Amino acid sequence: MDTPQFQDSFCRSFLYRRFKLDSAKLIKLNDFTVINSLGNIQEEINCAHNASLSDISFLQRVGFKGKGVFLWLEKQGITVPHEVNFATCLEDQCVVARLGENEVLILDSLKSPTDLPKKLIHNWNQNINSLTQINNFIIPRQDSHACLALTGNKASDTLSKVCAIDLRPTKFCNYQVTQTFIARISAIIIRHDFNNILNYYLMCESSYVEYLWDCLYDAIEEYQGAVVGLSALQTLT
Amino acid sequence: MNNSKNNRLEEPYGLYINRSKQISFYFNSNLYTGYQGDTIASALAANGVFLLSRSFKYHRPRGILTMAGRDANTLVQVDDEPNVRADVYLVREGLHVWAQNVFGSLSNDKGQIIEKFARFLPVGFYYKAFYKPKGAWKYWDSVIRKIAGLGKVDTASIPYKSDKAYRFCDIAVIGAGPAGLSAALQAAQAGATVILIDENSSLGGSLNYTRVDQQYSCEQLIEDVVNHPAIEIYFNATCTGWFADNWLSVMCPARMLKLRAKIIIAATGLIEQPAVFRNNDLPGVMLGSAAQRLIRLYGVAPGRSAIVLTSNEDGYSVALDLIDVGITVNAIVDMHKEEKETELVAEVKRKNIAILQGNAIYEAIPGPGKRSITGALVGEISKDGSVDKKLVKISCDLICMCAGYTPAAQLLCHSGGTLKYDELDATLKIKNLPSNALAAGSVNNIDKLDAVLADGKVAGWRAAKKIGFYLDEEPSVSENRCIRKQNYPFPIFSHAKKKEFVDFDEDLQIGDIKNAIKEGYDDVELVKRYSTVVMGPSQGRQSALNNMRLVARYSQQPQVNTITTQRPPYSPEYIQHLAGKSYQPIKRTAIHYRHIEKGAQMMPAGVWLRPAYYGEPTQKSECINRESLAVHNNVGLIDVSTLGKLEIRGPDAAELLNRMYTFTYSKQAVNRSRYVLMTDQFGAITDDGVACRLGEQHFYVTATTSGVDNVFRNMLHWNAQWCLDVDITNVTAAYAAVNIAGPNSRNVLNEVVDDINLDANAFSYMEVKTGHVAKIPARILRVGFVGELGYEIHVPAHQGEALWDALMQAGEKYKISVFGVEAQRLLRLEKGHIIVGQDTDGLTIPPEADMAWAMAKTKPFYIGKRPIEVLTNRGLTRKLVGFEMPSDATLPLECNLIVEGNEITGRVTSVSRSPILEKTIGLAFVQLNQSEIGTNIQIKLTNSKIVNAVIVPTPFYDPHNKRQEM
Repeated sequence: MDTPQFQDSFCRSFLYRRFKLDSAKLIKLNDFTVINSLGNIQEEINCAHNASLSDISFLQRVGFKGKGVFLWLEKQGITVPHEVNFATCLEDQCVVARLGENEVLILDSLKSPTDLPKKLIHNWNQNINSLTQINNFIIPRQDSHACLALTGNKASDTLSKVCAIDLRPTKFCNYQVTQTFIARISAIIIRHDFNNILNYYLMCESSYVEYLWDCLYDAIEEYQGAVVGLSALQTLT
Repeated sequence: MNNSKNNRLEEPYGLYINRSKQISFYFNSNLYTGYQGDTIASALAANGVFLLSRSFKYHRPRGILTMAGRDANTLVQVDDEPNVRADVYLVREGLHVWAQNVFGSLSNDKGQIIEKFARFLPVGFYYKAFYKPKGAWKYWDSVIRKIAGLGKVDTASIPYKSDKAYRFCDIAVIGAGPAGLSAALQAAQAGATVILIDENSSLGGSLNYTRVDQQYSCEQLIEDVVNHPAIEIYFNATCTGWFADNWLSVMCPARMLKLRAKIIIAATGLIEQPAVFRNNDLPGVMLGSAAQRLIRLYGVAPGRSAIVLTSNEDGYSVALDLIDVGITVNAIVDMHKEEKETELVAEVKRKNIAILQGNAIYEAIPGPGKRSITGALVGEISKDGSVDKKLVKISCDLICMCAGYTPAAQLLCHSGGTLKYDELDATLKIKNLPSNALAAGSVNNIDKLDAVLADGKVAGWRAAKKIGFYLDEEPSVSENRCIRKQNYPFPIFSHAKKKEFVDFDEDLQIGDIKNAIKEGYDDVELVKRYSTVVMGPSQGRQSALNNMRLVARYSQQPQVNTITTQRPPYSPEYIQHLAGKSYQPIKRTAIHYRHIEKGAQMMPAGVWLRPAYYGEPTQKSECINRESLAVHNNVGLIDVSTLGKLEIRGPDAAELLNRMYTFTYSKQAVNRSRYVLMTDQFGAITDDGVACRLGEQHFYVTATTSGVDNVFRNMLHWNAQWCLDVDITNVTAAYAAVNIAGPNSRNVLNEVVDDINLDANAFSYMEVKTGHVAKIPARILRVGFVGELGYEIHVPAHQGEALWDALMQAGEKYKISVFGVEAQRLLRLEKGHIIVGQDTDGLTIPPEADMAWAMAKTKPFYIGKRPIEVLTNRGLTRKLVGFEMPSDATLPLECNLIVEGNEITGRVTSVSRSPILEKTIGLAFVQLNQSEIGTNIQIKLTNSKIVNAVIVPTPFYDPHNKRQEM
């Protein structure tokens, strides 16, 4: 089978031109072409323990907003966190983040994609005129936002250079969520550690992601951070 | 190599230096050696070089004063960096250091001739001297700048990379001396997270260089602090400002930290003060603490034979330190009359050192060229505080001044504290601290080490308690007084021949302060501004207290009890640290790189980058014309992803639009789109777009690129009051969008669309369909902004590039062209469509812009309705009209004026040459009487020439809209 190319896919991350692909291994996932590894997976794993940056915009995600969201999600078998700005991890490793009183963001599992967001979108569309859909509005988070993973012990130090919120692991606990500014643009930050390795999901408007990538890449260099592929992250989870 | 005088001391002296690593560097082209850890000043002193600079005004020789980076005496040029503080700047291999503000050589500065004219250059002379006759300042300006220059800025130098970082903690402790250490440890032990900041490279503060009794060794304390997991230590870091909400600016070597703490403890210690006597500024005269720093931190002997001028026990410590390293102490000149028997005094006596009680130095005797000193004239202090003229000459090459201290309370003053003079102790004391600030240790006027340690502990305990950490009982406060007063009340001794310096930075002497007061400036703030005292690089650290004393005495206002306002920064900051890394957000569309690949010239549109046109800048007009003609005659494709996009959903979706926009939307059919025009509470046009009804309760609304955030905010704002049952979501980033336009656009689209009938009858103008384009889910809008048959296609953002590729590929056989923003602007102008913000201003109401057609007449309410009615009924005064000119006429620019005689009657808002119409067309605001079709108007060009134009109806092109509705 031929190696997939980014431009073979209809869905393309805004960042795909940013990577050196000399030794990269690309795979197809969620209609995207995804960097599985940039070369040496073990080196990438080591790097991710320290400080790494990954483009995971391919990760399926969807949002729902409205007073009827919780009831509808409950019927879909999804429990929403009790507190705003907190997330929970479902059994299948999907993340459910509560962004507001009536707003939820659902991320698929990075380790083993479940298609949960896709299924929810399907179900939502099926019931679009149903009474159970009252005050339940879908938010196109897959495209409105790009998604990055900032991983490793130095991840919070890296963020401290671009974000005015106290995101130290001792203060910003696992599964805590904040909606704030990073390098002057608004972003959603979800802490989701990979087996005790510090990890933040960062989501910004997709049109800003190249800018944010540059800011984070510049910040992470001080800690010898580097870009890693999906495989390294999956190994850690 | 100049190494004739070796002042380097043997170990254990030299805490900061690494003797195994020798470093060579240059000072004024002469090669010297030092050790790793040496500062420029300490390395030069080790080589016997004490002359470092020339003073600002009189070019007097200057040397080490504080050895703590707190004065201007040691400012030098290092490579391309001016005004480097040589007493804190570390030497490194190959460093080139230069004296600055020197004419000729440092040792024979021709600028010192200015001193001979000192009597003609009193304080404030430049206010009176250089502005007459008229125009004289231009000459004097350059002369003064040459004389007064401080170093040279290399404008070509490349600054090193510097960014900023945020830090957080429960308690910030500024200063890692004994008080700071014990405060930090106490707070951390109570459970608080602590950040400890110190400007030195090691912990301990004054313990590292002063004469400390072994019983007070703080080694264990330092070890406990270093090993405590809740204490984060920043060495070589200076806190320069304390701002609102406990925001501290901390300058580290490579970056500025923005530190936020719940509570802050300042354990910043004391600043030693000089005495004022003739020639107190020359090399060889330094603070006692400076001599101790040289000895203990850098292993350098500050001289060979010394006099110590003192008002406190520390002078005796200094004398003993000097003796310990082999320096002869010829006398201790103690300004206090009464002798107090302490262990230190007794030890000095045992060493047979002469103690001159109640005496002061009247004059330091200069050596050749005043580059050093050879002795001092010492006399008894008389009852009026002056020095008796029965003087004794004592030889020395070093005078150590231990005249007292002032608290290093600048940061506490930033926090809101105030400094008040305490007559009893002859010192300033910090008062009125806010609840978020604590002072600990000697800055709190506590002298004895055990008391300082206890005070730090108390501060740490209280700080922790204030933020909810509680540890047993409050530690006890121990006895805090020194036996002898630290400060002498008036250590200022005037001399008949002057040159008794109060402020070394600005060469200000006692007489200068007196003169300022005589001129009527009898307040410390006024004296400061008139004389420039305390305004130099050291910001009054060594001059503010003595200046206050002088103002109080010579203005005969004993009630003067404070110094000038303390403002950030506490110490010099690099501008690049303040600037840090610049963050300038840029948005790129999903199709951005396709434009680059096509040779687009990108232009900013708010925070977005958009293709202006495709081709070389030298052929801009040709490119725009070619692109616009391709749309008229064939098919063109433009990226319109930057358009604002909003989802309005819920039972009251139509009602929200009814209230927000001027048209009516309740009866709008599903799958139809309608123009939207937004006005503000004053009736002025603020935005436009289209509303697509995708369902009974679902509208997809577009807005202008730069206006969408405001539209979204407005909708949220108003609906917070209206409480309509509606959800408003900004989905601008979620969708990429293109507009394919031109007679062949339908043909191209048919190549990639399977599930939508694109025939004119099946998909009419202003209709909206959802389906797939090249298998990509899409919303397709038949709109006509550019006036030709066209389709706006909106797809999920991550599929935008694939959509573009598919359309370009499908359009190949039709020779599809890409077009940019400039061509789009031309095309819409040909149709007479306005651009909000360009063809409107902050006051334009719809009827003025000839857009009454977009206003619902029967609707009871929309934002701006009432003011529009009132303004319209009152009578319009201007109108937006179309005009045309022959194609060979000089092209006006946007904002050129419409004039009638000498009167301004309007302005051009848009103008361009239309290749399809072969004439110049434009839109302009004109007075109502000029708005009739056929009226001739005059446009005043930028070069003031007048060109004629004639008012014509719009649209200029395809007036019956046949082309866009085909």
